[in-house]
This record gives sequence, structure tokens and C-alpha cells, in this order.
Amino acid sequence: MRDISLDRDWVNDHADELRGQWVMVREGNLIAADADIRNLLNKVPREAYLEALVTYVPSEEEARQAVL
Amino acid sequence: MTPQTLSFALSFDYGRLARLSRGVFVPVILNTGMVSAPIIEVRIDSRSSFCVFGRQWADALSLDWEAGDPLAISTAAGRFFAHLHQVTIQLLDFEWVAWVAFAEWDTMPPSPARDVLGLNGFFDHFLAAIDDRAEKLYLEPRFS
Repeated sequence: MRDISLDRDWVNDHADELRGQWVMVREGNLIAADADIRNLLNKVPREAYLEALVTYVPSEEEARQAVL
Repeated sequence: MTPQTLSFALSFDYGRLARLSRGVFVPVILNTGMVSAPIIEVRIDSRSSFCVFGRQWADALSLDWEAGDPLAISTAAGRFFAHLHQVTIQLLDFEWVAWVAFAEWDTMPPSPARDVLGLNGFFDHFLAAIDDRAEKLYLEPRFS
């Protein structure tokens, strides 16, 4: 598996702009973002999201919640 | 108390992945041999009996979700249903085949609808140690 450090750093750096959204990032570049994971996956052809990082950026309220 | 010494094949710094959500996360790729999903960040959860993923990943893998063996999963917040499918899990340099549960819902963090690596499918394949202060996960494969 490739190193995702660059992608994860990009998401962390841009988190305030992406709260409450799923994001798809590769090589430090945003491919797509959407609040709905299915919409995100449908926006991007399957060949384009291979090796991309897909992660969720919690809203401020969600980020404050503890999880069980 | 008798001191114990364990050795691990690798350590993974999960700090980057936990900057926005408290948890121990690792990057994972699911694939069926024919179809591969993107890299996703999955929570390590020894409380979970199974590895559980949102249904959208079953669909992304072109799996016939209902064709898998059904499984009811109880949580503190209630019960949900899932179906088991055999997939290949790629985690860093490791790759193994496991039966995982795809839930009836899509992944919706931070609700209980999360993607997790649990006992069956992950902890039965690895010796794992967490140094949360250093934000490091140590793994030793136990494939057999």
C-alpha cells in the first residue's frame, strides 16, 4: 500500500473547509467531496478512485462527541 | 509479576489519522480479487466480534450483499444486521483473506455505523499492541 501521509496531511490542513464531508484525496490533491458517501463514490469513476484515500471529516459537533 | 517480551514486525504512527477523531485508525484496502475499493481509514476495535464495514463498500466491491451469510450484531445502542463476505484485506504491507461483515447501513461516523477491524478477521491474524501516548500501533502477523 502506498504511503498516505501526504493525503492525510492535506485533509488535516483543510479540515475546517471540509467539515461534515467525505473526501477523496490522492497525492495531496482533492478529487471530490460530498456529505453522502454514495454520492462521493458515484461522482468518481471506479478507475479514478483506486489508490485514492477516502475519509470523513467530522463536523465540529461530531468532533466533540465521544464514541463507545 | 513476570516481565514479558514481545516483538513486532512493524509499527505504524496513527497520529495523522487521529488528528480529527480520537481513535486508533489504520489505512485499509478491501478487494475481492476482481474489484478493489479505495483506501479507507478503519478503527481498531477489540470490542467488536467481527470486522464490520458499511454497506457502501460491499456495493463498491460489486458484492451481492444479501448473498452472504446473515449476521445480527448487538451494540450498546441496539442491534443491526449484516452479511458476511470473504474479502482480501490489505493493511500497510500485510494482506490476508478474511470473512468480514457488511452492515445494512452505510458508514456514518461518528455514529455506531463505523468501519472497524475487530476480533474475527483482524485480531485473530495479528499480535497487536497500542502505545496511545506515542500514537503508535505495533503489529506482528500471526497468519497460519
